[in-house]
Amino acid sequence: MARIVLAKLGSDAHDLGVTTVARWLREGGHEVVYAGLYNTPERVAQMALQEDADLVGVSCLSSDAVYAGRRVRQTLEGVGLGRVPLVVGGVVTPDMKAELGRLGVAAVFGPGTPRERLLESIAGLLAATTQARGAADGTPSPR
Amino acid sequence: MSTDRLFDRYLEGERPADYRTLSGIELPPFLADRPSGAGERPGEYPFTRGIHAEMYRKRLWTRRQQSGYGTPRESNERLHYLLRQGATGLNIDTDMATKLGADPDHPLFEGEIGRQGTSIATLEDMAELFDGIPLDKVSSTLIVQPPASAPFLAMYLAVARRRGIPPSALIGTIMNCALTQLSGATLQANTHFFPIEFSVRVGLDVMEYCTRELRRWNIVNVNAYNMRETGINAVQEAAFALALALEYAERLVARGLPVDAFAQRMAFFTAAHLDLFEEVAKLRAMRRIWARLMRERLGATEDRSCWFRTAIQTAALPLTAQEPLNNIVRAAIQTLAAVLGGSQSIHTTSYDEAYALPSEASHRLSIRTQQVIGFETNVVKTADPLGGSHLVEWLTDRLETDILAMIDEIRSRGGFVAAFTAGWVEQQIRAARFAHMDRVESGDQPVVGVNCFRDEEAEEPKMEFFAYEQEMPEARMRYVREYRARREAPGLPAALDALRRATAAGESVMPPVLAAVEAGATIGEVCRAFGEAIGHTVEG
Repeated sequence: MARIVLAKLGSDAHDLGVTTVARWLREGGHEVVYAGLYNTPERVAQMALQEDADLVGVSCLSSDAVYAGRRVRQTLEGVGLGRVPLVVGGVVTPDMKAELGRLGVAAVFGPGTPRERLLESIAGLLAATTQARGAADGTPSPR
Repeated sequence: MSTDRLFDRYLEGERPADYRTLSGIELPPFLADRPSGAGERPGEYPFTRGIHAEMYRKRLWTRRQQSGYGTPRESNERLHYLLRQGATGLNIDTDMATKLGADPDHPLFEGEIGRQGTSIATLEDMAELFDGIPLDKVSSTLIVQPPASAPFLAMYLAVARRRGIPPSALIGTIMNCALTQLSGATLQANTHFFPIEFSVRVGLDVMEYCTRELRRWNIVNVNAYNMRETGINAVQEAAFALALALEYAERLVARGLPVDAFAQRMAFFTAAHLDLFEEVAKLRAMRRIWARLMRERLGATEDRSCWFRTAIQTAALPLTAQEPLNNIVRAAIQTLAAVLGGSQSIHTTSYDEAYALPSEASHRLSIRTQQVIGFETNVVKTADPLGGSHLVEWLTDRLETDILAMIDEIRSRGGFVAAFTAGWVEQQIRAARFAHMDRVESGDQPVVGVNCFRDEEAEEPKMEFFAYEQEMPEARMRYVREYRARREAPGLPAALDALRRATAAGESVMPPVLAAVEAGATIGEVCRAFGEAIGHTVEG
């Protein structure tokens, strides 16, 4: 199973969604490192690096999901984690969802996303990165 | 709920999944006993049936829609718009930086300035926000918590003074609750920026100052709403808020204030959820409990000191991003619950809440919802219209018992502040929110359009959402830097020194905060001085 770093960014303290998702992922067999509130994009990237994360998720309710998605994506690339998929959860309008897709965010989960849909989507992303890594290294992934 | 299960239910005939209220109280098939509330009258102690004898016959609740975004100028325009549409009070929300006492150029708030609320950093900002609004005729609720509530109020007072309005003529409320503002009461949100005890102390300093100087001002608004929105139930919402308010009252008495001097200016902000009768009963029980706490425990003699006065916002948690028009129906029922429960002011949450701040159109619809109930349905024409209902009286008694039991538990843990600091409140919230999510997931808690009756082929809703000015955070950052560079403030360093000394010495912070604001300090500078004085710094 995978190691997943979840975080809230900036001053947005609405954590009902992200704590629920953390629980679902743990119950789905993943190892979740929840960074809590008040993170900068740099802190999230450092944590992803230290924890050897397979996937990073950020949650935005009152903060701007597009801004957060762009900054975290860039910061992950800056520390050499360009291949780690980034997912965004929270309050996202259809326009914002499309923009996040263009910015390279791998998946967006809006309010009311059912558990199975979330877990299936995450599993799909993890399988795709494992495959890509295997192809790049010429060796099977350790995970 | 799977389609198969649905078809089975059609065969059986549709019926509720269970017979419990949202907080888990089992309802009997019917109630026939004489309700205990018989004999209680509206406007009489313990005010179960309402704080006024005639309630809305004499005066409707205040239509007070929360508002605030972007620059103070943009927010001022929306405030004037709301007043033109029939809002009768203002409810000023600030952005997170302002609430947490940081200026717009603080790095943690990058990209967030002016979102979720308006950005206020300087006295100029405050003057612009209230431009053209008579502070002695329109009441405003200021949504800001301690310690930022101290400089925020100081700026409001300075604006009033410049317009020649004495403090005693100001009408309104400062939320000023140290523990309930930040998305409910999660521990990290309330300990990261300032220690809990320090925030509580500044909150009490503000309450004490307002009690002495602002005769018509509400000194605190205990925010039960934000706690409810974390997923807790009606019993917890009521018990947490009442226990905390009782503790504030006891601490003010310990500071030497007579209970009748301040109790009548303490107020609450509660949620109206979807369980119509339980919510009405909750408000009735809260009124009865608060009245008795004030009279029997604290010895209040004046009736007004025993009034549980509450603003209400219709809960946003049951609103859905799926089929958002359904939210209009939900909000109308919630608004009706608030009215039948005898609220003093109402904010009807907009149907687009699950996506964005309200647009002008959705803001107007919220006001119209209240106006339809207030002017077309006639439910306002007799006080406490559900009083005497077997169910509502039974639920009122039952909730009273459950709420009192939980208040006792909180008291046995040393009071709400201690229970909160020890993490007990956080545990309660986590357990309640996960239980709620499980019930939604299993279908035990039906959510129409989400876990049942969901139209899988429905297209994404076509709605016009409120959109932010993308340049605004940058512009506000430039503004505050330019303000600091151009201000003529020769007295500022000495004023901030005096503030640090008073803070460290444990004196009331209000006099030196007022002086610092007059000397040109920003909200961020005042709050940084607080942090320096108590040796608490925040990284980032």
